This record gives sequence, structure tokens and C-alpha cells, in this order.
Amino acid sequence: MPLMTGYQYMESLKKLKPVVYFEGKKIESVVGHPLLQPHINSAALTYDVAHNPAYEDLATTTSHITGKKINRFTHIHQSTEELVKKVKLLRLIAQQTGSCFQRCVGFDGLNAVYSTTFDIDKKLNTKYHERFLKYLQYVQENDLMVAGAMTDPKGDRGLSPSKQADPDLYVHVVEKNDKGIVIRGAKTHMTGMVNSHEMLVMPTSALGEEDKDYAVSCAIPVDAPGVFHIFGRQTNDKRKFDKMDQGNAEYGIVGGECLTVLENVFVPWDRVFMCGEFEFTGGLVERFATLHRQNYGGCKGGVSDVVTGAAAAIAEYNGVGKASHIKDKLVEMIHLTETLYCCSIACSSEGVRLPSGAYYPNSLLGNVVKQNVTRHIYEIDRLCQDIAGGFIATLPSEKDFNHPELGKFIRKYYVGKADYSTEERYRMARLIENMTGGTALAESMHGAGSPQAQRVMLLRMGNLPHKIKLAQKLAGINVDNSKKEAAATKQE
Amino acid sequence: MVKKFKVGFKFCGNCNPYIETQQLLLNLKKELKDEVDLVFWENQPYNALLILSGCLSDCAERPDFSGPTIVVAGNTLDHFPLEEENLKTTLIKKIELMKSEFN
Repeated sequence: MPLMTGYQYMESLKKLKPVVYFEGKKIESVVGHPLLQPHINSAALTYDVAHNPAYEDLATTTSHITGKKINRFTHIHQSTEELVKKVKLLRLIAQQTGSCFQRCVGFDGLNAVYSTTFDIDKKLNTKYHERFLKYLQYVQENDLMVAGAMTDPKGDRGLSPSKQADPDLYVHVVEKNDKGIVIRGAKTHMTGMVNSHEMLVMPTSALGEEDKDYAVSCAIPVDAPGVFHIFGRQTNDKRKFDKMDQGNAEYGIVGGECLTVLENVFVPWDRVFMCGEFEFTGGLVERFATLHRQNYGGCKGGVSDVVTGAAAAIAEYNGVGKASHIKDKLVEMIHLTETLYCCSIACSSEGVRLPSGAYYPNSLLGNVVKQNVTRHIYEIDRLCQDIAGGFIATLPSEKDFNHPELGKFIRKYYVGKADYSTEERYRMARLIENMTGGTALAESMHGAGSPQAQRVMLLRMGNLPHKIKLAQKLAGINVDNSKKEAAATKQE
Repeated sequence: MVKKFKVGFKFCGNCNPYIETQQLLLNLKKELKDEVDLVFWENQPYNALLILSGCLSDCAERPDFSGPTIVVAGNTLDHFPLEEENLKTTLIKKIELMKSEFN
């Protein structure tokens, strides 16, 4: 089924049997469970937009393998225009969900592994790319949701994988035979994993020869034997059993992350895309990181559009919508949002063609995107909270709001401008509370890599020697003469 | 029997639209229902193509179609700026003119 609907996606999930735990209890069915359903709804939208004439230009494209119309989330970018469309698609969906829709991680993993397997084969005469193409076609033709599984637990961050006290702190190969490999370890912060069909395992950092057992990339069904998932807590997650108090009951907050444990998981060779080629791990990680950092001006731009709209609405409900300082803050929020978006568009437009034919965003600018997100989202959310007022953090519960005796007092004392009901004000306050705090903020900081990871890239790619030369030229310093003079001075 | 004039429509994807192209299409369908069939761009053949882009970027991918094309991109019609309230009527006139030339 090349283009599933959201409903078909949910039905397809029901056929899987992933082992998922929360608070020590096994979740029997991810579909319909209050903790998980908002995230499933969000991911389902990535399927529904492909069927909507208003959105299909962004949400679908043509497979370069089969020539068929496919969901863009299963595609390998074939031009810089397609990189731009990816960003626009993410903004579009985020405007509707106000939350993470999870499917970009696997999308970026597919693109990173595609180009890397091509490079490995060229150098080492292996068959990884051929295998990967078959797998990709399977993903495209079945419109699968693939979770990108990169981040290892990492243990002592000062030690390489093979030097860790526990060898399982990074996913590694524990056995190879004629049928395939067996891997063990875990992947953390797994966005959308429990409601995906497949996971694409990738190494988490550049590795040396001593760590070659950790240089592994492969595809595994989320319900494969030996795989289990421990669903993560989120701020206010018990509110998922309520409605209004969730703020965004339909789509939740961020992606619904988990710890995925891989306990001696067998992977057949046709699903193995890297096994020991440690010299390609750095490139794979860098490509995935850039492709993923590219996204954030799109998805966080869309989420910030909602936050800005919520700020404008609550100001109006509070009766201060026309105040000049409110307008000024809203302008600042728009400015910051569009700054995020600008960078995502820029790194896409400045993308390059890799040897595999896949297109890849400009790495320097892609890292700028994510670095901005680690700051601007905090400022956008701060401004929103400033505009909204403190009541977003002190409101009584939904149960009290709907209580036959107490409810009338809440409606009376939380009233705002007469044109709006207290319930409208309450709902908007809850949306703001949940979208601008806790887990949502931490995700902006650390999703797609922590700020320092981007700063390392900025230093590496920022071309400081060129900047020094520019300054020297304007300062009238002839570098060649300076060097000669220095050498002559030494000789003297 | 005279064949009904057919126009294929294609949206840009509407990531950050400045105009409501979906509403514009609904209005067109309502006002032209007796004279023109508006069909999704994949349902060729049609006599003309209508591109509905939500903003000036006009990034809608163009299908393989060699006939006349009308482009709405934000508050512009075939690149000429218009007030939003005049967009629908001017667009209808344009489609009607194409239709009369077709007949």
C-alpha cells in the first residue's frame, strides 16, 4: 500500500506486537492507550496529509526507485527543491499538530544510510547499498513508519564504547553467522518508536578500529524477538487521562519517547547495512545529524506558529490584545520563528549532491538551525508565558472546572473579556502551559543533538583561517612577508 | 451535447499560506458548478490548469500539462497583485473567458 491513510496506519499498528512497558506494566495495545494515542494521532497526520489535495504537493513525491507516488517521509531527496519541500512539509504538519509527529527521524535515517552505504560499497566492494535499496523499496511500497535509532546510552562520555565498564552501553554485534548478526545494547530517547513499524539502527558516534563491533547499522521490526521498550515519562503525563488539562489532547506534547532495549536481537544479513566498517561511522552520524538539524526551523517553526497564535488569543481573552507591548512581543515571536525557518530554508537551498545522487543540506547552516532552536524556542515560549499571565500555572483542575459545585466559582473568577467564555480562556491557558514548559523545552535543547554538538561542527566548518586572512588583509598585514620576517628573525 | 469545460486544480501544499486557497476553490466550485468542472490535477484530461499557491513563493510543482495555466499565488493572479476580495471575481472572469474561447 504505497500511500496509507491515518486510519490504515493505525490499523497496521494493531497487527504488530511490540513489548512496551510503563510503570512496570505491559501495555497490551499501543493503539487506544491514553498515554500513546496522542502521539499516534500526530504520526497519523503524516499519512492523512498525503491524501489531502491541499497538502499532497508537499506530502507526496515520486520514488526515484519505482517512479510511483509515495509519502515524502519514505523518500530520498533528489534535489535542493526537495530539501526545501521537506522543511515546508514539517512546518505544515507542525502547525496542525502543535507537536512532534515523529516520522522525520526515520526519514533522516533512511537518507543518511542510503548515501553512506553507497560510499561504503564504492570503497570496499561490499553489497550494503543494494541491500538497502531493497529495504527502502519495501518501506516505500508499504508506507512504513521507521524510527531512527541512533542515540546509545553512552555511559561514561569520556570513554569510547569498547572502554566502557559495561559493553552494552553502546549497541554492538555479539555474534555473526551465515544467516545474520546478533546485536545487544539499547537506544535512548526513541521518538515515535512504539508506534513505528520498523527501527533503523545506526551508530551514535565516530568510531575507531577498536570499536568496530559497535559500527553497526541495520533494520529491525519494533516487535522483533528480544526487543522491548520502556516508555518515558513526560511533564504532566498523567493528564493524558484527562482532556482539557492536557492542553493539546489530540496530539500531545513532543514525540512520546522511550528506552528501547535490544537483548540479543537477531538481524538477517539482508537487513544489515553496516557491520564493522568503523571508518564510515563518523560520516553517517554527521549526515544524519545535519539532515535532522535541518528540520527544526520547519517543525519548531510550525509549533511556534501555534504558540504565537495562542499568545495573541490569550491576550485578547485577557482584554489586552490591543496593548502596544503585547503587539511588540508578538512581533518578536514572529521574528524569532521566521529566523528559525530562514535557516532551514537556507541550509536546504544550499544543499549538495552526494556521490549516491541523494541531496544533503549545507552542514554549517544546518547546525546553525538547531543552535538557534536551543535558544529561540525558549525565548518564544518565555514571551508567550509573559503575555498569558501567571494563571496558566495555577489554574484549578479540569475535574474542578466541571464539578457541579466548584465549577461555577471557577467560571466566575477566571472570567476574562466579556466576549469570550471562561472555558475558552481555560483551554487556551492549558495549551500554553503544556506547549511552553517541561518536556517541550528540553526537546528543543537536546533533540537532534545538544548545543555543544552543534558548536563543535560550527568551529570545524566555520573556516576560521579564511576569516583571519580577511582581517589581516584589511589591517594591511602581508602574511607572506610576516612569515618571511619571522623566519629571518629566528635565523638572526 | 456541449462538453463541459474542465479545469484541473493543484495546491502548493499550504505550509504557511497568506490566502485561503481551499476556501477559494470551494467558492469557485460553488459559483461555476453549472459551467465548469474543477477536478484534481491527476485526473487528466482537462482544458486548463489552475495552480493555487498560498503565498508568493508559488512552490507548487507543475504537472506535465501543455495547455493554458492560471496561477494564483498569494494575492496575485498570473503575477499581477490583486486585493483578496477581488481575487475570486477576477479569477472567475478569467476562467469564463477561457471557457468562451474554448467553445
